[in-house]
Amino acid sequence: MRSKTSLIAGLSVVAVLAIAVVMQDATPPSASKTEAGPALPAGNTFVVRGARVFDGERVHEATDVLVRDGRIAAIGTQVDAPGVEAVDGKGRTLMPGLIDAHVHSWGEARREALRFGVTLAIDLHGDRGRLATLRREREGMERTAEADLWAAGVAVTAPGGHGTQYGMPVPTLAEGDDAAAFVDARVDEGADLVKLIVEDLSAHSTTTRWPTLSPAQVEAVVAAAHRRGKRAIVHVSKQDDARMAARAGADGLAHVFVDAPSDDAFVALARERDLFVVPTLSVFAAGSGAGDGRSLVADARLRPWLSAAQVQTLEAAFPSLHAHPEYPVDALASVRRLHAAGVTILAGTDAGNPGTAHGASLHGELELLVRAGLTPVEALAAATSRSADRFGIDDRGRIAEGRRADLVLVDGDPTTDIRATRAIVAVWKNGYAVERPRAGESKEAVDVLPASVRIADFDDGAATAAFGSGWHETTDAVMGGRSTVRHALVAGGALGSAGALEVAGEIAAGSAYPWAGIAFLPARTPMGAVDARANTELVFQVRGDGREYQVMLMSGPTMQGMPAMHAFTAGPEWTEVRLPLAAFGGADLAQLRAVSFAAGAPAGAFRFAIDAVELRGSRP
Amino acid sequence: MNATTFDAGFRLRPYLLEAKYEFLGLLRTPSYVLPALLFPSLFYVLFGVLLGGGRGGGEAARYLLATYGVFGIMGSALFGFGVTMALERERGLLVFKRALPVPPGAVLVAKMVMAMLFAAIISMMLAVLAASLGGVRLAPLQWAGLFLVNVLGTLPFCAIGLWIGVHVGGQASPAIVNLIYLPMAFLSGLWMPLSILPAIFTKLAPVWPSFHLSQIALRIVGRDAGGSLAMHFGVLAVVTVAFFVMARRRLADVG
Ligand SMILES: [Zn+2]
Repeated sequence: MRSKTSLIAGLSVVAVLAIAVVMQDATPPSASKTEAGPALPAGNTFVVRGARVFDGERVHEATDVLVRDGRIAAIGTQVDAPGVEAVDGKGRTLMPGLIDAHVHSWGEARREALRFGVTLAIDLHGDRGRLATLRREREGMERTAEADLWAAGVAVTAPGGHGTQYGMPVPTLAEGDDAAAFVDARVDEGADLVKLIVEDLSAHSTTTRWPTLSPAQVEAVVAAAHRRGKRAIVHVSKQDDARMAARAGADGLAHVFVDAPSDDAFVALARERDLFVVPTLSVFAAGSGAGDGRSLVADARLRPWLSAAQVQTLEAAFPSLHAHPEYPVDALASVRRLHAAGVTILAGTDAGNPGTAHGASLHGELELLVRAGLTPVEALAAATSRSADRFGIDDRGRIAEGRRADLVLVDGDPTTDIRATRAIVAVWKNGYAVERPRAGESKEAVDVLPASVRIADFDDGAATAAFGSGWHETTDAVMGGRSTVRHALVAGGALGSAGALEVAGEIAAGSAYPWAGIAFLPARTPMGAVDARANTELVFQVRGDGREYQVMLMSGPTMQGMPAMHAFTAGPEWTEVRLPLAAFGGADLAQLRAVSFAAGAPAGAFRFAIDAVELRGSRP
Repeated sequence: MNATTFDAGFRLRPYLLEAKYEFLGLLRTPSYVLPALLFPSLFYVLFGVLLGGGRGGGEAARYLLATYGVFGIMGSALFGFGVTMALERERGLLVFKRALPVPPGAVLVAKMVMAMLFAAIISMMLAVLAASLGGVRLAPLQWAGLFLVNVLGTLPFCAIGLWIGVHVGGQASPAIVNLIYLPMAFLSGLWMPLSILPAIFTKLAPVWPSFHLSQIALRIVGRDAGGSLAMHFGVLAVVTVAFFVMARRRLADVG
């Protein structure tokens, strides 16, 4: 009788604890919870009531935040705001819009970033033609669907160095060039900061070496940047280079080095020089299972808002990382030591690279920073106030009166569980709620090509195209190869026309798939897609050195897929080549992104010219 | 009706006396008083104020105020019941007391009052440290809530302590209590947030009663993991009743 009572009591303890464990598991983070979300105010004046507020530095419980005309007007426990539309903040956390301190933004990137609560990003190498536009846009208070950018324009790098391989023309700083004049030109173009590249690739490849800036050049560029009142941020991969950059007076590092864990001397140096570090753990994390691309794709709180292209890049990884499983471990160890010593760590992802996606990756980076020893609050500060402070941006990064209302509201408490940043309820930019359509609901705006369309005839004195975003050199350098190419307009085109486009270069052995050539980008935004399903045939004139060449079609959700290829031969006389598009196996004509004319193996010099390039359709 | 009210004052005396002796007895046991009262405060100053307080906007100071409170009161209840009960049982004190004109429940009530008294002291010491050194700012209702959670939160651990105390010998009891107390504190996230440990710790945390109490305390300071309050209270209630029932059965058998 007695032992029976004890047995029942004991069993009830076991049962209730088991239920507790199961109940916790039964409510996993789900998208459906945020899906229902509150109805968000239509205008740029509203009040969030009773939220936990992370103001960029500290946490305040049960606090109201009033936004008026796109700026934060009041913060307090009982903010008086009669007639102002209210958003329920109970059980939720309101944070400043997130700042990604290292991205390469093009195409849809700014839209994607904002969708995930990243309201500002620091672009460290990209199109320099847009700098004035970026500045104008970020000064405005209008409703927008895009994150703002602070940008370096193009990075400062050596001729043929890292940063020159992406197909866009990049001015370079050669040995003996005037560094001050070079920096002045960048700042006059509108650069907000100066990015330097110190990278000989020795940390990533045993054979390939890239030319890079010398210590004297780094020192001169940093000094020139400071003279113009700009911060200097340096890309390094090795601890010795990081030391050199710190001694040269750099303000920050664009990556944590990976060749070794940080030693005491570097920790001391970084502290003494007040160097900040943007570790970009995201690009090193591939395959580590936490905070890496795959884990982000698997997270139900993020997945519905990831585009097909983002999923594809998140699941990719830098090939060199497979050879160096110790890199992510060392990177984490370095961040741990630097942070413990009080060195400022900023959250940045290097999004635009394999293994990352704009916006989404910052949530993974936050998790990785917590793994590296930052508390959740410190990690959040690294993605908000710290970045604003270190980049000298004074109207963002904090929830404080007068600041721009760039805000993120999430379910739960990221100040204790950092992964809660992913449970986004609302994002506000300039005080306006941002529409967050799920990936399936928003299609990339794609222009439909007419059935028959002339691409280029090279007869009006320029290497231009009739539509799209122009002709761009393309080589295997993006894959670590060393093939070269140059292109020029030449007189005497096919069928007696005025001009043609000549493409020449050298295929270098040593890369798995060597190539070099010229690419036509058919969309209005570089790397964007057009719908070419009405077209059936690519027709062009060619002549050349007798080699075999390939037309490569890049298509599908991203530029990073394998191209579909078809061979042609360039003989000594102008000849018409007609390639049926159906012969390009695997091409997705609904999303055509690039048409390339390129040489491949074997190694050696090549030269050919093209003219009268057009797409034809079966229908007139 | 009349008889009961008339009886109350008279009946209460043995309980008060027993409680007083219990308190004096405990004070003479420095191996209990020192760790129980001072360690939570010491740890709090070390981890919550000196090491973590300056960073992250007092976040550590606030989090640890809630969890070290639970840590402290859990210790005072487990030791106060587990160890003293085991010792008294071994020395035959319980049998002796049973021969005296003291109601049988008085022993247990006295120990319970003692655990709550210690919990109140610990709670206030932590509050003073948090407000002065840790810079923690809470609303009056939050301070009161934490105090209440700490004092009433001793109940499930009194029951667990009692159950341990009636099962093990006096010599072995401190070691056994520690063996349960310290890992349970760690695995419930009382020393550091579970979010910085591998995910499996978070998953299994609801197994520990101290996790549920700490979640209630953390809810008050806005730092909980977002679980259901009803579940936390439910688990603690079942644990309290079940362990008490099991201990009483055992006590009745072996004395
Ligand atoms: Zn980069």
